[in-house]
Amino acid sequence: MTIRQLDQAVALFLIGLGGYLIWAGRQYGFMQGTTPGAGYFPVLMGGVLVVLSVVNLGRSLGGLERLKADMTRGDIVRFVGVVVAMLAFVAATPWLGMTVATMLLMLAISLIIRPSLRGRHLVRVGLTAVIVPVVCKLLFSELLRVPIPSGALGF
Amino acid sequence: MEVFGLLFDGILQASQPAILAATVLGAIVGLLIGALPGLGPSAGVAIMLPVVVGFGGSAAIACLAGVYYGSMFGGAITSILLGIPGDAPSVMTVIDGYPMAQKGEAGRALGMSVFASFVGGLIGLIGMVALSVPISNAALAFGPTEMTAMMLFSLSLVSVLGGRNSIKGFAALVIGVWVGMIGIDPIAGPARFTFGQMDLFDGLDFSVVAVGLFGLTEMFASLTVTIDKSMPKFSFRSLFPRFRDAISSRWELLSGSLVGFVVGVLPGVGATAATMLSYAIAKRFSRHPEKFGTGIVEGVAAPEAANNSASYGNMIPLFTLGIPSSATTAVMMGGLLMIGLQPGPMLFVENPDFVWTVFGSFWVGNVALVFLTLLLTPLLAAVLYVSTAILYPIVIAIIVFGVFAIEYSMSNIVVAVIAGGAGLVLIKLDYPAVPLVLGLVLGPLLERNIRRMMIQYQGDLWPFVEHPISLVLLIMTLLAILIPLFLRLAARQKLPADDAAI
Repeated sequence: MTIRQLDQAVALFLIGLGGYLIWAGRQYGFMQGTTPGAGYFPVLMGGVLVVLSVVNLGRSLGGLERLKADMTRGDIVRFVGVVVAMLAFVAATPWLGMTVATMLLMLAISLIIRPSLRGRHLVRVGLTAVIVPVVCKLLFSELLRVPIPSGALGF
Repeated sequence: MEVFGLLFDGILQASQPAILAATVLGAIVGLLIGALPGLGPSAGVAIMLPVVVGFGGSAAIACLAGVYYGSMFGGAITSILLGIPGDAPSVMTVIDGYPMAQKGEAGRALGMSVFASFVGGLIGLIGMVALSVPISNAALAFGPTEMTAMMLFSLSLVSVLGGRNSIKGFAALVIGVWVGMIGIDPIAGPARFTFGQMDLFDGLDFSVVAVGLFGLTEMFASLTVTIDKSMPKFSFRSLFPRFRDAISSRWELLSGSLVGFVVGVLPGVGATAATMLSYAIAKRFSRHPEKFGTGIVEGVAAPEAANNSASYGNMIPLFTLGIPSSATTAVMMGGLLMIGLQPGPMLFVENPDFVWTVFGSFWVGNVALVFLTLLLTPLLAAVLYVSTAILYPIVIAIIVFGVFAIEYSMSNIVVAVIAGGAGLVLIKLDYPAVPLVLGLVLGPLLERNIRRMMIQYQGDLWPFVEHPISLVLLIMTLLAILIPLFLRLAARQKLPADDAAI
């Protein structure tokens, strides 16, 4: 997929979103007599979004848009990897507790960004992944009195 | 003169241990954020937002503001030592700062950047204090009609000026307004765009979206940024500003500060444009313009004074009118709203102690940053070489704890991740983030004002036109939208598309 195709896909998505805003706004009620309903602004914003996105789509199809394609395939893989790691962290926290889950999250992100198993790097990553979540847990739970979720291991 | 008396009291209040500690913390975080390429001041303020809300009151805002102006001090470090701007407002510092470092004058350049940042901050603060009270007093005469028109003007200006493509700027604005509509409608009552999820009935928490949109997006976009240049050597003693340099750069310091302040006040323009304009003016009026770009101390003085002055100018619309004019001040507005304070002219009437304490913390922070920057520059220079594989997991760990702490909810982390991913796609496609976040912050206020007016005037919007101030602002809004369109049609510039694979 080229950057121009992505631009067109997003423009199409926003046209659809604008259409949805108009439809939903009419469901919420556009005007009740002289009183603007809950759907007044959604309808207006939806209309504006559709118009602007049609213009953007037209500009992209007409080759009037210059976009820098500075993300390599590796950059995209790393970005997706970090997102997946963060979502997995959310799923795992109720079982592992936030502190342990954060340790694993940090390890995962480090290895995604720099997949190196060199001893020195691993030691640094490991130490950071242990110390930082413990410090955060102490700061947030003791100082700021936030109930940090604990897991099967009790912390 | 009364104003400066109030400021003096504010400085005394800001010197209390809790607020002083918050100011210093914000300043140090700001220095670090400014020095690191890949994270900017808006990311720093957004990341700290969930953390500092627990501080409450003046301490929270003092800390956030410290991050903002601290990043202006820190941005020069990488610009001078490595030729890489730490953040966008430090771009112009590279032009003369890096050549100075290459000539063995890194310490001299760094020392001037600290001094110029202090002078720019001082002049910006004087301007901010001098103008805040008259502007807020004038704004007290603004009714809801005028404030609504002012918001429309500000949003249109930001959308036009906030990025390369004003059509995408307006689209981003609309997206932000839509996101702000999620939740229960405060006037009519139905839940909008919640898809049956009770978690969304109160809407999306602004700080969560801001953390994702600025903090996570910037990291996602720079996961593999590494420094592969060697750092020029400099001695600690060489960091101290020289009297001779201060005298030779006096006009650049003054002009940079004034230009930065004026440009900083304008919505959507920002500190980056302020530094570019100040550099251009300094070069234009210099007796030796040919020396600019070769590594002269005056070339560092002007942009560094401008970016710090601009950061204070940028806060005037926020505090006096309740209208943020940049992404960073929009996030700060989110912080004010989270601690229960509505920025605007009434803040000066109902919470004067808070306002002057916060302003006092700016003065304290500006002085503290001189010493902090000189002390911490060697450490910050070393931190630059820490890999993103170590640094970003640390920042993300702080983010997940901070976002969880807002409402004790893991779903907020999911929202932040989605906002971060969406933000990355949007910035790669030239949809600017500033109008989006302003739409998110001001959209609900704008909608409420317009609908209440229509209810009051039975569906009629003519009061906008009948009030002279709002009429003028509406005309300016239309001009802000139409003039760029006409200019583009007149120029009929056709840009080649870029078909490279992503």
